This record gives sequence, structure tokens and C-alpha cells, in this order.
Amino acid sequence: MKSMKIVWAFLLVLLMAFPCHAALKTIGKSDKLTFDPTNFPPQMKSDWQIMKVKCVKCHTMERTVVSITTGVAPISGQPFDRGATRAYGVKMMRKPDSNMNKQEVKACVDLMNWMLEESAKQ
Amino acid sequence: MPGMRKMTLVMAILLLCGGYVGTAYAIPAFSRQHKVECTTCHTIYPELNEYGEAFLKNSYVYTHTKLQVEKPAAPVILGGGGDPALLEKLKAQAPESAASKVAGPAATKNEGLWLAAIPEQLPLSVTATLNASYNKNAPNNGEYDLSTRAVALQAGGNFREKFGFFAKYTLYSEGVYNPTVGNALASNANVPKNNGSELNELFLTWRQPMDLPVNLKFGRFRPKLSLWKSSNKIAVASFATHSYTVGKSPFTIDSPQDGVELNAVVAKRLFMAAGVVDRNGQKNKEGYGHLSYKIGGADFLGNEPMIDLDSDSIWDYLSIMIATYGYSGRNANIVAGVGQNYNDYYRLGVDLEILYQKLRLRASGVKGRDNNPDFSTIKGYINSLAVSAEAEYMFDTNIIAAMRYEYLFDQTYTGERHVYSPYLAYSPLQNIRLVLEYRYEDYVTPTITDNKIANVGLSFSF
Repeated sequence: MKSMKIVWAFLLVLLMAFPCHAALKTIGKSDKLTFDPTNFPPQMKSDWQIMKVKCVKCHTMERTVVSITTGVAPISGQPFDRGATRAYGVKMMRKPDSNMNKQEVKACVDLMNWMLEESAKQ
Repeated sequence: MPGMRKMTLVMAILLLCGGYVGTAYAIPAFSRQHKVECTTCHTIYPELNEYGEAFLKNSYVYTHTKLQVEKPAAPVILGGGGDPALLEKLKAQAPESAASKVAGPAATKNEGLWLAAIPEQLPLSVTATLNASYNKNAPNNGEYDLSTRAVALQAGGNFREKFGFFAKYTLYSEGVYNPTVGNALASNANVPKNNGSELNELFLTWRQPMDLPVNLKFGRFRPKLSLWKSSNKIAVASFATHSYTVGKSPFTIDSPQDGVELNAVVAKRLFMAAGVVDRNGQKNKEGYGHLSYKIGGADFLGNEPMIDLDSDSIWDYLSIMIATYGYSGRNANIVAGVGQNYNDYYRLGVDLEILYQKLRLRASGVKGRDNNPDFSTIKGYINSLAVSAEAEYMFDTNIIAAMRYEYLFDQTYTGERHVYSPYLAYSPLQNIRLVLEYRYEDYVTPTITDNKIANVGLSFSF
């Protein structure tokens, strides 16, 4: 029993050692780089289903990943924060060929804002 | 969709990819410099979207304030000899260079070049235009005309965001084929000769010199009059309001001129420009002015409109631009370098553009008066009027259909006509534009034969 307690204690310590910001992970490289939604909360997983389809119509997900994880938009060099997510969302909604409605844009903006928070924890 | 495209403006590059048939303001050099796609600034090149317009208005500079992402101050660590990990830490703590601070993403660029204000890449582009036309009523058995219209070399960009520059050099344009002037080989070569190379535009814009709220543009350029440059279109033919002439006077509102212009974006949504033009052979200077205002949509600096994502409004997608302009000039028949038989003229114009999602409407009207457009010893004035209206619809990113109506009038009554012109544009790749256009020119004077012309236009830029 004592040894079992030690094992359990050891396992508990191991669990505690895991980072609490594991929700935001990426997979792939270069233009295949994208987010791993495995650990997303349910609502964010739902939003991700929209984002992964809409965003890549015009650009790779790599741009989004870089913006979120670095806090800097890769092309313009501008800070990528909550204000930027909204501005980009609006811009994409207004692009004639984006085929994004307001609800879809809102979902993407909410998801990006959540991602920024998660990224900041890392 | 995040951030990537922002540059739109910017980069305009924005603008990009395109060369313009008349003037190219969006060229692939911008795409190369800013690493963005042509559609950042164009619908189908060379037609600009609102971000391309903003990039152009701001002298090829991305106008958003570049905020610095401050690094948290780290305690200074001494030492580090031979320890790669410690060396990386020291590098991370190193103060940013002036170049990286000001240039933001330029931190990874060559600091020496940045300090010298030299673009890392030579900002050159080439645009070629190939047109074919069919006109049943063309003279001299010329129903079919297949010819290379133009090859142009373009350069554009900015020097550390303090100066914008642009140049267009026409390497080749089709020579005149006119059998009526004689049967000499030179006049009737099977392959038309080159008109000769021409420096179409070359100008530099000093952005807000000495912190003044205006930009100073000087060189050879197209005066800012209409909302759109003659090249800012998808069709083969230019808007009549941009291209019509009166008598023998070569003046059009989009002709390149030697001049100086002051322009400025005021309160983000008002654009003002005024300039002076110098013409050879005369002392008199010519002057012009332009005012335009935008309601809805991104402003002239490329900032997105405030949109409530929780409720709908017609202004979510609607933008309206209005402009008015005027030009007062004088030209003449030049003999031995001196102007004779002057023609004093003016043009007053009004433009309107309405954009709603995939639909774009443009309307333009120009009224003019020339007091001696034939440069005669006995002056005779001619009033003129040109009206253009166009509706275009974007079916997809690379397919646009449009219908254009134009009306031209001058007091000679020989050129009065209505023009109906539907066209379809397709862009298989962003730097290639294919246009199928039909023009029906209905002359009011019954004795003048109407023209029915089919044009196929192909242009590419790299």
C-alpha cells in the first residue's frame, strides 16, 4: 500500500507538472502549419469548424498561427491584439469574395481572442 | 483571416500586381516588397479595391501607426563567454536597432540598406498588353486587328516611408498604321512599328515634409482630378470622361503632365489635391483642384469601419465616394518652340462610386469648354460634355461582369454618340487579366456610321 501511495503521489506530481496552457497547440510546418483543436473548449471547437474553412479560402492558416502565437501580424508588422482581431474580422467580412457572414466573423473573432489569451499564458 | 491581409493597404501593394494600361499604380513590385497577393489591393488588376486606393493615396505607404511591441526589460547578465545558451539570452536582451524600432517587421531586414533608404529589392515590374479587335466597318480591310499594344516598365515604392516614388516607361507601343498617308513601306509595314519609347510618368512624393499635414508631389504625373485613374478599370476601353478630346487639342483629364501637386487626407475621409502644371511653349501655368469624400467602408487611411457584429446595418457593406474637380489650362500649336494660336480651356467634373458587397456602381460627368481647340487664327469655342456610368458585379474573385454606358457631346455635333459596352473579365491567375468586350457606338448624326466593335484584351504583369 505504501508503495502504491508513493506511485500515486508521483503520478500526481507529474500531472501537476503539465503546463496549464496546453489548450493552444499547433501541428504541421510552413504553409501546412495549423492549430490542433484537440484541447479546445466545446464552443471554441465549434468556432474552429468555421475558421478552418473560411480563413483558408484566401490565405494559409500559417498566417493566423503566426499572428496569434507571436502577437504580431507577419506581413504588416502591426501588433496582433484584440483590436486587430476585430479589424481583420470586419475586413474579411467586407471582402466581396470572402463569403463570410456576421455570425461567422464573430465566431472567428471570438476564437482568435480566446487563442490570444491562451497564447499569452505560454 | 487574421492578420495577414491587413496590409492590404499597404502594401498595397498592394496594389499590386498590376500594370495599368494607362498608368500603372499597382505593380508586382509592391507584391514582392510586401509579400502580399495582388488581391490585397485589386479586384481584378489593375482595378483597385478600397485598400489599393488608400495605398495609392498615401504614396505607397502603409499608413497604420506602427506600435512597438515592447520587450519586457530583463536583468542584465554579464559574462556568457562560450556559453551558447547564455549568448542567446544576451541577444534577446540586446536593445533594438533604430531600424528594427522604426521598421517593425524590418528588424529582419538589412539595416544598412534601411539606413540608406534603399529598397532591398529592385522595385521593377513589367506589364504587357495584347489586344485584338473586330470591327466590321473598319476601313482598309482592317476588320481584324491583332497587335501588341504595349510593353511597359514600371517602378514604384517608398523610401523609408518618407518619400513615395513611381515611374512608368513605355518600352513599346504599336506604331500608327495609316495607309491614307501613302504606300511607303514605312507607313504600311506588315508589322506596325514602335511608336518610340516614352517616359510616361516619373514622380516623387515627399510625405508630410517638415511635419506639414500635406504631401508634396513633383515630376511628371497624372494630375489628381477624377476619383479613378484611367487605368483603374477592368475593361479594355477607358472611360469616355477620362479619354475624350476636343478638336485638335490633345488634352484629356488623365494626361501625364509636368507639375507640382499638394495633396492630403483630412480627417481620414476627405481627400484634397491641388496642383500647378507647366506646359512647354508658354508662360502661363495651368491649375487644378480635387475634393473627394467617402462615406462608409474603410477610410482613406485603410482603417476598417466600426461595425457592430451583433446587429445588421446597411452600412456594414455600403460605401459611397463622391468627388468634384476642376482644371483650367491653356495649350497651343507649338512652332519653333513657341506656342501659337492658344486654346484656353477648362474642365469641371463630378464622380460618384457606390460599393455594396459584390456590386460596384460608378458614374462620372465632365463638362468642358475650349475657346480654340483647333488652334486656328480665328478662334471658335466648343462646349463639350462626357458622361460615363458603369455597373459591375463580382461573381467570384476572378470573374467580373459589367455594363457601361457613355454619352459624348461637343458642339461640332460630329462626335455626339451613345456608347453601350458590356464586358466580362476573367483572371485565371492574379497577374493575368483577360477581357471580352463589346462596344456599340451609336452616333446621333445619321450620316455617321455606327461602330460595332468586339475587343479581346489580355494583359499580364510580373
